[in-house]
Amino acid sequence: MEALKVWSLTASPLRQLLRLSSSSTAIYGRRSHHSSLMLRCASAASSSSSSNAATAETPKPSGRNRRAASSSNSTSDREAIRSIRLKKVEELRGQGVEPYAYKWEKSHSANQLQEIYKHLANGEELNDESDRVSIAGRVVARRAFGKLAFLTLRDESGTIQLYCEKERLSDDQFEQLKAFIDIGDILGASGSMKRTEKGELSICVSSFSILTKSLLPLPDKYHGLTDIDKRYRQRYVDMIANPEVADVFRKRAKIVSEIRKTVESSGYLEVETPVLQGAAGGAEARPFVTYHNSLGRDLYLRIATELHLKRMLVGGFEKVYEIGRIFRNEGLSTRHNPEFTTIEMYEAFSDYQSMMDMAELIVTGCAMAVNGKLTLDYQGTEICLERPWRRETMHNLVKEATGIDFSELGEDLGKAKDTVLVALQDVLEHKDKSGIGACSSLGHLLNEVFEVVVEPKLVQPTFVLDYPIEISPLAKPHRGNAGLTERFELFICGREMANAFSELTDPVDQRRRLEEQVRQHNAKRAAAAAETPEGKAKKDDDDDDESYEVTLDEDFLTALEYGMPPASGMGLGIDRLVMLLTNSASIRDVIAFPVLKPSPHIYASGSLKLEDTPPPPPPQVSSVVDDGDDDDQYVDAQVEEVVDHVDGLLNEVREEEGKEEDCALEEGQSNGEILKSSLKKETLDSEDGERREKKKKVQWVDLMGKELAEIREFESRLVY
Amino acid sequence: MEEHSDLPSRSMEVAATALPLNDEEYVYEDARSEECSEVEDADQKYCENRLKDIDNGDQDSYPHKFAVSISVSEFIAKYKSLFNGDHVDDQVSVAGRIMSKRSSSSKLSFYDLNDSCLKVQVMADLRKSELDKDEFAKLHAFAKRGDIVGVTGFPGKTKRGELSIFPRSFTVLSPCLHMLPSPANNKKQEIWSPGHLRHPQTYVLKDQETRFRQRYLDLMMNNHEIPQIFKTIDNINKYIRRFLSLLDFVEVSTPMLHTIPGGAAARPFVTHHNDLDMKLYMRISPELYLKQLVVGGMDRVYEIGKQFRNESIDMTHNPEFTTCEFYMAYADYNDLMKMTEDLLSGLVKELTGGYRVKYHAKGYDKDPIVIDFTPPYRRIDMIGELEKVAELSIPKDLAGEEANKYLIDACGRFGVKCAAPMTTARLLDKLVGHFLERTCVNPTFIMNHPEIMSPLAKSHRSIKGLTERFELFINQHELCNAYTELNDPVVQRQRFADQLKDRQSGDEEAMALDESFCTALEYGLPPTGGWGLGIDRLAMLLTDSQNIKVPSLFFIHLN
Repeated sequence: MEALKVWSLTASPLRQLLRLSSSSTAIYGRRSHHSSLMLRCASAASSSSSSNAATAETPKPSGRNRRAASSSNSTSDREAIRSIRLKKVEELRGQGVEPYAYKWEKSHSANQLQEIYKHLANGEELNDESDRVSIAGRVVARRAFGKLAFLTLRDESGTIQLYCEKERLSDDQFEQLKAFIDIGDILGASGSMKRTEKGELSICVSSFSILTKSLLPLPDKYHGLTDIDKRYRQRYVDMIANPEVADVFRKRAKIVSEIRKTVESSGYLEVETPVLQGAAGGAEARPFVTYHNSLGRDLYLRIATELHLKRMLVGGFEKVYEIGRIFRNEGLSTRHNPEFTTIEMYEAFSDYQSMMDMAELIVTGCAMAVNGKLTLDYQGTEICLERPWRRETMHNLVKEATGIDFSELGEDLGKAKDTVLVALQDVLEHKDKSGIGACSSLGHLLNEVFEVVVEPKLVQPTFVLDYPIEISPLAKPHRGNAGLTERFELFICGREMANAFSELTDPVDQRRRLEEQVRQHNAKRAAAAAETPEGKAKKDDDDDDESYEVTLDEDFLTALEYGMPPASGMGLGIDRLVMLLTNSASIRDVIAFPVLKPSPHIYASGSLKLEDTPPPPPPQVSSVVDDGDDDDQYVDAQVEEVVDHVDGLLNEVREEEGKEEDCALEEGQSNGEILKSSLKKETLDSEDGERREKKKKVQWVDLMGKELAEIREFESRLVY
Repeated sequence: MEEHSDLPSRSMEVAATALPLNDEEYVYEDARSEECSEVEDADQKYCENRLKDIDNGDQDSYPHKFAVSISVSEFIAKYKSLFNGDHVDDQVSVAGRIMSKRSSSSKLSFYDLNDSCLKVQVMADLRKSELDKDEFAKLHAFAKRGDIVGVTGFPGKTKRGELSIFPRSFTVLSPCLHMLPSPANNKKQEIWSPGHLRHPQTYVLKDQETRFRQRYLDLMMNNHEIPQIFKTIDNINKYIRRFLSLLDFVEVSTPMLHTIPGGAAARPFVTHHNDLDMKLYMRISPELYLKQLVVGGMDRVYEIGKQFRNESIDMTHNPEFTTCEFYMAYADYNDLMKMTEDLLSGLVKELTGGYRVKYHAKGYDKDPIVIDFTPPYRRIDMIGELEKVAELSIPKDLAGEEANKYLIDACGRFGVKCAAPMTTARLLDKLVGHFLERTCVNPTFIMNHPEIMSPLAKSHRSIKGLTERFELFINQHELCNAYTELNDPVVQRQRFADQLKDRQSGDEEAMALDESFCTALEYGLPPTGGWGLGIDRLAMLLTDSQNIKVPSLFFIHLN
């Protein structure tokens, strides 16, 4: 974007030097129609017509007209560029220059320089020895003229212009610069600070070094990556093209560190509990199964950290937490990734009321840390995080939204269902109705109505209190209301952010509840199997959510028998919190490398497809005022080369993608990420036949193991 | 191990030779197992009786909350200076587990209330209680050793000088349904702190299987040492995070489920994603993803997280273990050596108060050694030192046949065993293990590994055939591995090809893996230093543990 600023400025003494042939397209020249052709092929040939460069890349004619060229051409373009650049690598080595340097001492980041030298007046240059700086980063724009070249360098913090004058560089460095440096190369440069006449802070380069020669062109600024998948598969390209992508990851780091700070200052100890477990407990979700070769047994990837953290309380720690990865073998969506990160925390002697305070503390602390304020915009909705947040029981919320008072419905499930269906006949869709029909208890029914009618409306932060006991097998019974538990979930933007309870500590009650859970699960499996005896016929559907086994964690029950102190516990989904605080529509935007559907072209070395849309219309051409600036100059096609395409924004693409995925993936979605334990949204229809088949698939490991033992390309970072 | 012995299993070798298999607690294993069934029967009866008592009781046996006003440690700090026989009128509420109970009559009971490793006496006296005689007697007949209780009363010291709480109310918060292991002695145990020796012979619960399987009992019963181990691990992680964040590193998380396992040579765990019908592998290393983030412009990134290797379990190998890896653009391995020294010496100083750590390297029944973390650390050049120590003259072209023959011969002469395939890399590895690693007790950098051993490390800037790599060894075990990262995609491809040639593997996935990583390199990875640390192994050194199970909270059960 700096480019715009730069280019809006007008001519200079350089004008003569550059022998501008035409002044009619001077201002915004780079946006003019004339040069847009250049720009679009720029990625393919960043230093294309550098006539005095012996090894200059010469784009093929088709490259000049990418718009017309079909995208299949881009692969060959890319290969051509690659081989040209490889030749440059060789030539550099021939000249005794190592194009993959070992090290660079940088004195400042780009942003630091912009800050330190912001008062430097236009045209002023500092020649003091103490103002010599060195910097390193990626070349994202490059303009070279006869005896002058401008490079824009971007590092983590921002960008800065390199002002490279032939006289100031030693020996043949200037020629080297013109001949060998392409957009995308990583460069180290040192020199003195100056602000150009037009106000662009620059480093007046006295020496530079090619630190890493890039071989592949960066994606086109205006068209970007059309292949959404590729943005995630080649995340690094996305990050180079869109610096704000990395900002999300930086904010994520800040959020995690803020959470640690908050809980540590309350005296919590961080512990690590195992990922590989003999039985996956603490939630109801399909686990990943793997196989340990030398133990000769199946292991499960944890679906929650709950049961092991509670053992820590039994062991005498009073406040423990774990920030860790959880794995659920479920479908992908904008809100679900098979691995995600949660914090689970447990505090002895307290109850769920104190966890509500903790949730407020954590979320507001994180919001302040990353945004500096408590109001935020999430996908067009304004959210206010000012404390205190609304705390309301599930019963009251349902009553408020539907007029149905569940406490007066009586014990008859069938009647209750009828009441609900009548009261909500206008609101419910078909699948909601069948969901209600499938409810096996009043508690399930209440929860179903809550999810369908109330949940989407909980936009501002709301604690929903006192869940039915049937869907809360690890929560302590409510001390005031039979049939309910002391449990809350926190909703923001209609999404569940946290789940907490006064923990169930009675081992007898716990055993009863877990046994009931297993019984229900098995019944559902059996029913589903009976319903679809044809088994594999419906192979492609993903409704086999119950086709995994749920077992009792006897070790956990034994631990409870040794006595666990009264405690409250909470699980909070960190990915969702990051989504909220960074205004990210998809979980894939907050996870650096999300799991993706298998793609045949993942590892094809084909190029990034360039979109086939026309370039933006040329902006209005104003007349030129050639007032003799020395650098920030319009350059037309006659001048050597103009490129700046890396600041491209992929916004349109992203929006499209969001929608697309939402419809494609939400369908048939199971509950996915449920924090801490919970049992809601059970989907039906398991197929025993398919289950067996799938189980087989995960047990071929021995064979695989052998196969993989042959893959030894990499020296381990840690030889274990 | 041997069926996939072409992986660099150097450290495992060392584990086997350096450490006699006297695991810490095997030496002190108690005789309980013989009476096991008897004990189990008794325990079951005990459990049934307690459940009956709970059913018969009229109070809520599992209350929802207890408002603690002061922790045991705060209580001790605040009131320890009371005079014998004195008491104060403050009302305090303390909670914890009863670790011993002595009843002198139905009107007077004494309890030791433990909160982590500290204890305070509870003197339950009918005269000071809110309860009547029958209620009091019933309550204190019910309360048993192992129960978690909450006590509200006033502090004071007994005439004998024991700091105590005199309860007005006494509530069982969570009854213990099992008999706790009985204390072997009632001696007051010194609380362990990192860098010092541990004393497993003083443990109440000695049986190793029980300790690892029911870690909560270990924490509860051996509370003068075990809880401190986990606090130490938390402190190690905190220190590393602080150290790196001061250097502007960003903590990131990269996937643990990989479509292709890369970044290390190890057998991965395999699993299956149902919805995508796709094979996934548990990560064996985060290296390739972290480097991609550096390509993407994040100049300093690190990740502390679990890695998974489908290997057999032994003293230094757990199928899941924790590492810290960081990548730093524009730095090289010289910088990293300095950083390693700063980090480790600073960490040890902060946790232990000094640089010297005592460690039972050969088992708890042998004399301990002292490991000195004072920087700078010894640096030895791998090939040069090997030639010097073993009086070898290894042919310069390490990739050639001649070098291979020479090393096979050398191994034969010194009786250094190397299982097939006898590649030059593996032979060198064994010789280094035999001659160099065993000299590395205090922290020592072994540096400049040959290219053939280090496919991801950059070639040495001045010595042909070697790389800019180092490993840090302490107590003969590898703790760190770091290098100036190879970022030339052409050379990287060549190295992979060489590796494949060695293995004669035509696996398509292997090729794909190389390709995707090399493609990332083609976009340009800046000069970068990369570094990995095994946190469990560091934790072992600082917690005087010879078994990697000790610093991991839970262990996969072998039932």
